Amino acid sequence: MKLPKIPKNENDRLEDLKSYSILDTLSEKDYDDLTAIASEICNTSISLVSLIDDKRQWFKSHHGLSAEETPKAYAFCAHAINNPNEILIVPDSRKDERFHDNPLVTGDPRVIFYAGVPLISKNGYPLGTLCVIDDKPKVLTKNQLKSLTALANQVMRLMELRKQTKLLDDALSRLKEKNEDLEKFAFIASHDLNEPLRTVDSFVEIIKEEYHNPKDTNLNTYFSFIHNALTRMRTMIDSLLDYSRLGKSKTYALINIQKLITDIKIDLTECITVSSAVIQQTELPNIICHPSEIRQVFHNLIINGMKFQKPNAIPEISISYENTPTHWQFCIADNGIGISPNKQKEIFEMFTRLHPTSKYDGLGIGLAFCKKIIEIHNGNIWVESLPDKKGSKFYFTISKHLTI
Amino acid sequence: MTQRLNGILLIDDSEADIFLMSRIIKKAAITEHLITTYEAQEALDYLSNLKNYETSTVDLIFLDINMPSMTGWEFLEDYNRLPEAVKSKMVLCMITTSTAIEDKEKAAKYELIKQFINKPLTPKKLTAIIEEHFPKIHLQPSPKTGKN
Repeated sequence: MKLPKIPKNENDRLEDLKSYSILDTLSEKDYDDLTAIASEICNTSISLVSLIDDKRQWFKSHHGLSAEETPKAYAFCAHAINNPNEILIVPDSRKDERFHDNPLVTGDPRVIFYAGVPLISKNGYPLGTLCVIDDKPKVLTKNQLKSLTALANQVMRLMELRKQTKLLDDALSRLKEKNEDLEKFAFIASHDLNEPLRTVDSFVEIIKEEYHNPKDTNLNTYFSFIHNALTRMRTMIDSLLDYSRLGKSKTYALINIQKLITDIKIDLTECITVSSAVIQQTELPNIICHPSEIRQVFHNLIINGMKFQKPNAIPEISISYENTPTHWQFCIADNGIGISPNKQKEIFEMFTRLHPTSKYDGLGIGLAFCKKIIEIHNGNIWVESLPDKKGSKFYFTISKHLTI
Repeated sequence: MTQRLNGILLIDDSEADIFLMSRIIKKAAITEHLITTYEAQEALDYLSNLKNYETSTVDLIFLDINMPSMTGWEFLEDYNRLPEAVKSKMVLCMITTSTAIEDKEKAAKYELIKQFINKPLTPKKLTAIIEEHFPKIHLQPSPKTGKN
């Protein structure tokens, strides 16, 4: 008997094998189906998916054989992987100097006939074989060998898929963790920033109280700058805090959007009257959503439609929807100043503003809130806009698969 | 002569907050003693060592929530073990920057917490606490220049 040679770059090969996280896993029907077919096509009693580990060969699938692994020294497959581009065929092992006194030949399961197609990984390493075994001498036809090779390719596909799925799962759970960290960070940061801010505020008040001089116009100007900056900062911190809390309590309900818009219009009565805005809507559906948060989305988008207008223009806003197989898709169109194409992603980020406060007031938080809320509803939000022409169209979708 | 509280105890790790609260309490002139500590443990030690509960020097406690080493909540666990005679004499007021609803809900579950207010302490908030829990204390009208 000849021992199998250690393959070239054995450490790298073993490392590659490990990356599939397949050794010592439970049997799977997908692999068992392939070995059953291999046995059937080649008319043999045994077929194996054998992976060559450091000291053993381990079977991911073992059709017609009860053993789950055997020592590497006796493994035919360990020989097969040393010529990764060839099928190892042993028509009669009793006449082969490499195997004639191998315990697997002289005793059970009596490996007299063997044919093994190496399984080559994406990185080019032979990890093992798909093999067929019988206890009588045998010759396979060209077509049988072709089929066996095709099945070996399928085994390798299954293994690659397994690896990709695992990589994806790992990446997803890392992403989830990072997201949770980020949310915690936003909460803690905004919460803790409040404290020094309040201290500054309090001492400014004390200075005002103890040293205030109505005649000192410079001092009063400075105070008003400090006051404005503090107010602004407090609003920003509070918004960050609110933002980090969005979606914390997931209480969904069936909401009549038609009525929701009517309610929002009542809230905005003053703004609508002052600007003579015209708000039109098609008939809108009842949907399952987070009521207060979706209200916030419509509210923000309608407000924006009225706000971002040329001076003295009369805002026209129309609200419509489409029923797609998976989502409700809403559209809020306005006749405002529009958004240039290179800014259409940016506007959904926190504290992004495209105009000076002197022209259009605001902190740049409304659309960031909308985006987060829509993401909680497994939807998307985007804008289509042609500057100075026909205003903007904000679209957002809400999954139909949310449950109360 | 105006009747005053025996003492007010402030527990807060922030020097600025202690300063601000002290300033308001002193201006209101409602207490004989003002005791301040930056650590909850120090306050506990002080309270546990009070010899004569009948003439206890503390009537009102302002307790911060977020403090290092021992938080306001941890302080409460130990405070609860003080003799009833001590606790019954003192009004415990939780004072915090926390806008978190969870903290307010948690505080509502403690019978020990007689009051829960958000920082900053203002003369108006102080007046409200005194009026509610110490009706016998005569309050001086707050100065017109103060911020309420």
